Amino acid sequence: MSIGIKKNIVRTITESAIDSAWIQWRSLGSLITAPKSARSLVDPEALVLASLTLRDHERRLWDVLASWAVTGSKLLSVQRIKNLTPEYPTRTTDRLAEFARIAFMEGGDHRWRKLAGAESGPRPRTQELRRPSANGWDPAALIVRLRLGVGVGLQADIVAFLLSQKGAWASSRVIAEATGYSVYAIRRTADKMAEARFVESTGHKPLEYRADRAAWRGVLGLEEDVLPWRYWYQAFAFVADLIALSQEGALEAATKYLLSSHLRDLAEKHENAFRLNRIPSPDPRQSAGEEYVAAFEQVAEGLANWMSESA
Amino acid sequence: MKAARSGNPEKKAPALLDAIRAVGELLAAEGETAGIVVVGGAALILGGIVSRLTEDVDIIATARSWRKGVPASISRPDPLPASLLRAVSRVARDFILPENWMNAEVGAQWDMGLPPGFEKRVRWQQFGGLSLGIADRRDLIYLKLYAAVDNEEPQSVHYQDLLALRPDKRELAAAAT
Repeated sequence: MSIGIKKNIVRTITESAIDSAWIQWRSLGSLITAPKSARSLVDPEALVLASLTLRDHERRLWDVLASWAVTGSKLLSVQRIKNLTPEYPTRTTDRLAEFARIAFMEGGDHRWRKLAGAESGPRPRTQELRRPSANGWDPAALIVRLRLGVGVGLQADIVAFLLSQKGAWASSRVIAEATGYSVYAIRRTADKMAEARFVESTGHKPLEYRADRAAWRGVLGLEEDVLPWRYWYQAFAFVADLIALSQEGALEAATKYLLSSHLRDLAEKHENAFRLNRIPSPDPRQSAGEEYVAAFEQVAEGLANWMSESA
Repeated sequence: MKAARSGNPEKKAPALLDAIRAVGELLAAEGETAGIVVVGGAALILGGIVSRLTEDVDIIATARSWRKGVPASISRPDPLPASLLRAVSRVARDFILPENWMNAEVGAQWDMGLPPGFEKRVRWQQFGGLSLGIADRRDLIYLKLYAAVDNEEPQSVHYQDLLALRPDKRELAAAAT
């Protein structure tokens, strides 16, 4: 007989992730209904990877993805999605090859060619769920909006992150942790942006950057503060791994201790999702051996609650 | 296992048996087996001679050959099998123990020689993929006496363990020779 975590944990997390994805796609202008607008900036590449993961559970997400692959792929960063995929399970990255094939073959976006696989995945029921030009921008769509304006690349993402920091200084390392680019690439780009007066730099150690909120609000015509940054790619990566492990039967073990040890691996791998998003989670050092199973269940429930509150 | 890394001193330390059982479960899950012979405080705890919860596990020997799934002969524990080291390291993390909670430092005793007939008196227990041999009482007296003479303090753990073994004069004399 094998031992597993509470059966409803994976289901609750999956449902919470689907709700989050749905809200975020809606905020990016997709023609779907969602109960509310997103409360934090939408990370487009994280949303693609999460939706690919959740495709089996919510087929309509594939319709949205296929729509974006045809008409919106140019707003996605191929380099960034390549940077993020190592955090995700193979099941997700295999499906990215299907998305890439549609973007390349049907969307004519040659940047996706190298990622494209031999298959296009299940046939979508519609590929018209993306509005080509938005009538007014949802505040959560700032990253996509900036990319449309200044081009897909580090510049747009750096500005979006700095604006979300509400005037606070941020180092290259902090920006890199948020965006998934290398510290070197961030520093090189941010220095040029500072030279061009797009952002401010301390100019000395500790080298940090910030964006002039008032100036950018004027440029973007924002009436309210930029929404907060949440570390979605890290949170969705945990969800993706949890779902993949559940589907592989790897969330069950011969003994409670073995289960606890596997769960500890999972929590350690994704500790950034909890640390960066300040999701309350029990200190694993306070739960020896099999006691960690109960602690992990609290961790997972905490993430589900966080997604519901943050999306 | 003498000092837990946990920052909460009031938290109950994990029982030695839980950690050893965990090593055996990890080995079994990997389809691996290992055989070790333990002495010192861990052997006293496992033998029911003292009632401490935690102790370093001192490995004095590893199984060299097997017969029908049971260790048939032992050898110096140098080096410890890689699969055992992996399991020990994982258990250290999972039970918040020092990295070297199970170690083979006492294997240096082979330079001085083990008590005659030591190997034949080892009692084996099975914990999943781990065959754990416990040294016999008379061998523990021999080794504890050897360790206690280096500690002048009667309060030392070795001295107290030696008392717990309740050796008679004949056994002490035999150990001393």
